[in-house]
Formats: sequence, structure tokens, C-alpha cells
Amino acid sequence: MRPLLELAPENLWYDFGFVRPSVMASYAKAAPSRFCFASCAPQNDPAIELNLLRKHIPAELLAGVLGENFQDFLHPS
Amino acid sequence: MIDCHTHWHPEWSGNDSVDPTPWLEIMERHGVSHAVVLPTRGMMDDTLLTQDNDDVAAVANRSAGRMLPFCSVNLAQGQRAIGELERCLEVLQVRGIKFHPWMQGVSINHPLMDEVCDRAATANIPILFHDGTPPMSLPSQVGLLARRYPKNTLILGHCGLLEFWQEALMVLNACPNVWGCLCSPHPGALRQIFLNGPQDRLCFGSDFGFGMTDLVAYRLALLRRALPEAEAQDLVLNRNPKRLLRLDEKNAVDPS
Repeated sequence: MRPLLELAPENLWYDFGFVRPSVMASYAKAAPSRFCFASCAPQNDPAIELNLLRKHIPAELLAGVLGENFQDFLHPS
Repeated sequence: MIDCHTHWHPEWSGNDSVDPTPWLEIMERHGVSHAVVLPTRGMMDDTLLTQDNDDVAAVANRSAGRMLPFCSVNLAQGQRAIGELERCLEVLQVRGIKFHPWMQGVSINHPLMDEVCDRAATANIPILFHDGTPPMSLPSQVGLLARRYPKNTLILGHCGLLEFWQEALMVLNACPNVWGCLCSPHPGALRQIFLNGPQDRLCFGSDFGFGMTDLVAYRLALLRRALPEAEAQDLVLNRNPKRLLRLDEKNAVDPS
């Protein structure tokens, strides 16, 4: 994942499904406008995943990860 | 509670490379009384393997019996690896052997694995494999080895990770000498493995120490979500690993 993030191609988007919480912040910082929250429910517990995400993602990136980025993906300006 | 999959890295102790205090503090915070401790650096760079085996054994010696050291060798080194294994068994008194086949670049079916299995069976200690990563670390490859060596106890260190947990489940049901460490599959998979697998051969692992973050809380939360029943948690967190690691026979925590 690290080499991919270093390349950070602008047409590649990412979701946080199954990502360990300890690496979430560094991932999000590598492509702050293209990471989106994903719980992978029902295999995962969305409450646990959401709590972890809120704890680990820097506050300034949270709104993007929790929805704004995905809206941009769906409706590019 | 027993954590069957952790790693040691000298970064945990700053200048003194064998001080377990900060590492143990995190374990105690989560109620972990004992932990299997695996090497880290030596699996990434086999020139560091002997030092890593020494460090893991030394840090375990300072843990009042709480850290149970496993060693690793790289079979690509030929008979030198077997010599190192014998040193680890006889001098360091390790409690198990760890292989990370894809990271170490050595097949589970390497010809020298026969000698490893013979020695592990004689010493009555388990062999833990990283699993869940193709092409060299698949649960089925561990299963084939288990069929060839029914006297050995083999552990799937990750129960197939996220993608190969169904294969891990098949292997666990097909091979009575294979144990599953519930470390990394998602909660849905953890529950299926528990409900449909050998409940008396499953244990918990956090992968704590592989990196500097506290993975115990995260992996425990997933496990408790998957197995909310107190009986299931007691089995996986306490009773099964005690049997696997022969804790009642070999050592309890030294109260001093």
C-alpha cells in the first residue's frame, strides 16, 4: 500500500474497509481528498469501525473521509 | 488472558534492548497475563535473525514468565539454520518456532522443513506459520505439512487473514494437529470459524508489537464483537491457549 500511496495517482480512490486503525492517519494524509469511510458491514461492525475512524483520522480530514470526498467522486466539479 | 501472537522489537525499550517494561505495561492494561512473543527484525533481514532470537529470549527472561519466546530461522541458510534452531531449543529454551514464509522467501515445503518438524516434535513445541498471503503462506500449504507430520502441532498464525479464512476453516477441520490463531480475520469470519471449526483448537492473537501501536485493544474489540458469549471468550482467551502452550505444566507467572 505504501508504494501506491507514494505514487498517489489522481484517478485512484480509496476506501477504509478492513484497514487497521493504526495506519489510517498516514493513509488519509497521503491522499486527503480521495479516501472514504467504509465499514464492510455486515462482516465488520460499523459502530466499531466508525469509532476507530473518528479516533484516528485528523480532525481536519474527517468531514472529507465521512462523506464530502465521496460526494466529489459521484459529482466531480 | 493469553495473547498467542505478538512480536518483539527493540524500539519498545529504547536504549536497553531487552527491557520488557513498556511492552508489558500495555499487555497489563488489557489484562493479558501471558503472550507468545515472535521475532520481528530477523524475519525481515536474516542477517539479524540470531540477534533477534537472542533478544526475544533475553526479554522473555526478564518478564517473570509472562512472555513466551518463539524463535525463527531461515531455511534458505541450509544447515546453518538447523544449527541455529538447535541453539534456540537447547540454549535459549524457546517455547515454539515461527515461520513467515513469504517474508523470509522460503517455501513451507522446503526440504529442511522435515528436520524442523522432527526437532519440534521431539521438543514438544508448536510451529506457528504466518498464513493468508499467497503464494507461499496459504493455510492449505500448512495443512499439507500437518498431514505429513501428524505428531507436530502447527498453528495458522492468522486463520487466513481477510481473504483465506474459509480455506483456514477447511484446514482446521481436516487436520486435528492444526490450531487457529484468531488474529486478523474480520468479525464475521471469526464467528464462522468459531461456530463451524474446532472450538478446542482456537486461540486469540493481536499481532501487537508489529509496529508501535497498541493493537490489542483493536483486535480484542473485534473478537468480543464476534464472540460475545462469555464461554466462547474464556475458551479462546484462556483455556485453549493454556493447553496449547502447556502453561499449567511449564510455568505460571513468577509472583516475585
